[in-house]
Amino acid sequence: MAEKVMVAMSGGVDSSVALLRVMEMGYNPIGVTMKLWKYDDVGGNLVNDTNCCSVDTVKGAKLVCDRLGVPHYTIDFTDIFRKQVVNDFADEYLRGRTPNPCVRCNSFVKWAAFFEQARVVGAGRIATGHYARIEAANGSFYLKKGVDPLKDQAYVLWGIPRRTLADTLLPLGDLTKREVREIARKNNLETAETPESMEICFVADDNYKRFLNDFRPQEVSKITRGKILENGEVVGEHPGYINYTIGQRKGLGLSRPEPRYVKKIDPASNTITVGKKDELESAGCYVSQVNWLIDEPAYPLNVLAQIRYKSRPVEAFVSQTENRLRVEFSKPKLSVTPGQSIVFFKQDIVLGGGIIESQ
Amino acid sequence: MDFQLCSSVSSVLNFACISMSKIYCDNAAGTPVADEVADYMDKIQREIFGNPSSLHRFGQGALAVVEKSRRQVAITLGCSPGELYFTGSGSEANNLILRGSLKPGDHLITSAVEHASVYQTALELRKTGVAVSLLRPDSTGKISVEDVGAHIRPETKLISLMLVNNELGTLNSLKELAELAGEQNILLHSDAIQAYGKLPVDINNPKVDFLSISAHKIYGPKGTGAAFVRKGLKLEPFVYGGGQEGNLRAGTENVAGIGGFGVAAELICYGRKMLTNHLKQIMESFNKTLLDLKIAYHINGHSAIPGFVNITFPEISAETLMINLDLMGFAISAGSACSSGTLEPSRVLREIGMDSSEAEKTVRISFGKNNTVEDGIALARAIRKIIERITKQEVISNG
Repeated sequence: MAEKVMVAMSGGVDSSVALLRVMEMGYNPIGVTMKLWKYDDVGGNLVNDTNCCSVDTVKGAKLVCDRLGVPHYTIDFTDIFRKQVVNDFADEYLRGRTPNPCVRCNSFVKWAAFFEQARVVGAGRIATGHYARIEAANGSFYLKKGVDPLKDQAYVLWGIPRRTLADTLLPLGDLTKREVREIARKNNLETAETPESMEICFVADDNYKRFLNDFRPQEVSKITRGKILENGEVVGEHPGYINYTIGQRKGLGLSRPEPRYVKKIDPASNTITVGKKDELESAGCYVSQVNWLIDEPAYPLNVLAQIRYKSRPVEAFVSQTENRLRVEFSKPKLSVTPGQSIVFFKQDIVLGGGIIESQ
Repeated sequence: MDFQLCSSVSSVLNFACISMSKIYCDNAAGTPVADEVADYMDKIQREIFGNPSSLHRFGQGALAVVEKSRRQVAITLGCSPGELYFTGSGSEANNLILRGSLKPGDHLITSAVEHASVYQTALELRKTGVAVSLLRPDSTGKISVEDVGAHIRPETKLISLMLVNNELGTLNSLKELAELAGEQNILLHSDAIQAYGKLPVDINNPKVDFLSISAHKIYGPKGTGAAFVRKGLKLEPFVYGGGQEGNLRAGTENVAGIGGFGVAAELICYGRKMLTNHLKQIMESFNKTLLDLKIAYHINGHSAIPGFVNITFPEISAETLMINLDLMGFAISAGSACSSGTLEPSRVLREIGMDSSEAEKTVRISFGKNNTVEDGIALARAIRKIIERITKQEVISNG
């Protein structure tokens, strides 16, 4: 009997085509939808039929599996998701930082609890519908960008444990989104036309402030109005620092001929510091929670560094300080945001990454 | 659609559908449809398509199907056909009876371990001003008749208790309940959905006023239930419309489903004794194999239903066991599923005092007429194999 592969089925078109491709590779797939979140806990489920974990998306996954003759199960991961992803999301915003929950979900839920679940169902590998590639060379496995530059998701996968690469299939890495939809249509997959999901899956209405208010009402209620500073001087008032992220221009209530942007968020003093665009540039940053997908390199190291999901990687120089890495960009970067991921590449190979701590 | 499917992905499809044995051991959730039932329903769908309310012969033929079935089912309950009302499900029959018989100010005595279609209806009725006593069971899932007696008050209108519990199989003392209700002049409803076709059910012995049953537990089709309503009792209509089903439940009848229900009722009630012996043998061989293979387990409740057991395997979670058995071709039930298909903690197991870690390791196995003694043995062996593999993995990952 062919080797079993557990396929993460979100109920969207990507994971459906991933399943199809796993079958075409000759594996024996098992479809599993991860139940990550209960919307009734923290509301916001205004668009429930397009969101992950809703009854409709689970049914979409089930229909596709059934069409392809594949068993499908929904397994509850809500406890670990809350603990590893949602709590951290709230903590980070309350610390004045801007988290990336998808990265944590991949690192600490999908390539952790879900990966472990594969063994429970007797599968040696997992597959997902991420747009990235895993390639073997010289006895090692490497994570590479997907071929579709518009969809590439290598950025959100930097934190997965390196040992899991050997047992992970990413069957969409050599396809474009357009090709994936075509395959789904050609095979009459029920999920062929599912809309792109861009928002954070557990914040269904895409309103993270509303979410934080519902999820951590006590802590959020303690966040009061505070001062907006520029060059150390008070220039205005803000309604609460969690409404801001680095580089934000809107909602400052400042009228200046030249726009001002959020440069720094300091929960301790309850202040927001603003500046002109050129003041947002940083020459480098400190990075913690580092994960390498290669043998840990010797420092200093030249890499391409990407500091946001959709930003272009730039040349950078990585060195080691006590327990963090110091990254110097070849040219100053705008809005280097604490809490966001920085990912290191060599060409299209993901070397590793970490969390931006401070500039 | 299916032809399209085969042509588009046939290569992979053939691969995925590797011939796998399929052993269905979840008959309490729903039984396979008997061939005789399926054949008859197919004939009705193709040939007897009239609307039973139409006055021409097409309608006449369809009406005859419905009324014949009403007689067939009524005989099995010992009621007259006029006392039997077809519904869209057993849940609907429970709703019809509770909502149709109770009004604000009335008092209902029911239990915390009823099927959701009674339990949730009771909670909804409470919001409308019906007083509801939710009695707690003993550790086997049984409701004490004394406790029922102690809760009776002048406004008590209805006692609704299931004949056997759908998760545990434990039997309630319907005879004593009927005596009590009779003495106190209180109406008695019993949800007999899980018991019907497996245990003797007779509306006069013990005497009940309302009873609910469903076709899909007795090798009939899904989507057809029935409510027995004793002659002379009046219920409020459940669906308004064209006055079908004695004005209680309007809507064009599900003729094929009702027809199939009649055939299924006839088959099961004539063959019940033989089936009981067959199921007992399967259960014995299953239990014996568990013991022979030294699998740790304990049985919950006192199942009165042949071939039905609620069982805890302390070495493995119900979810893991269910999924792995399914992958090996065996279907069992691992607690109640929520709408998105994950497992929810069982209210019934909590009510009988089981802690959640134990409840998470508890499954329901229910053999049916299509099972063989070999199935019971094979299931126990499969369970052994899975437990062995999972516990070995745990040792590796912990060590």
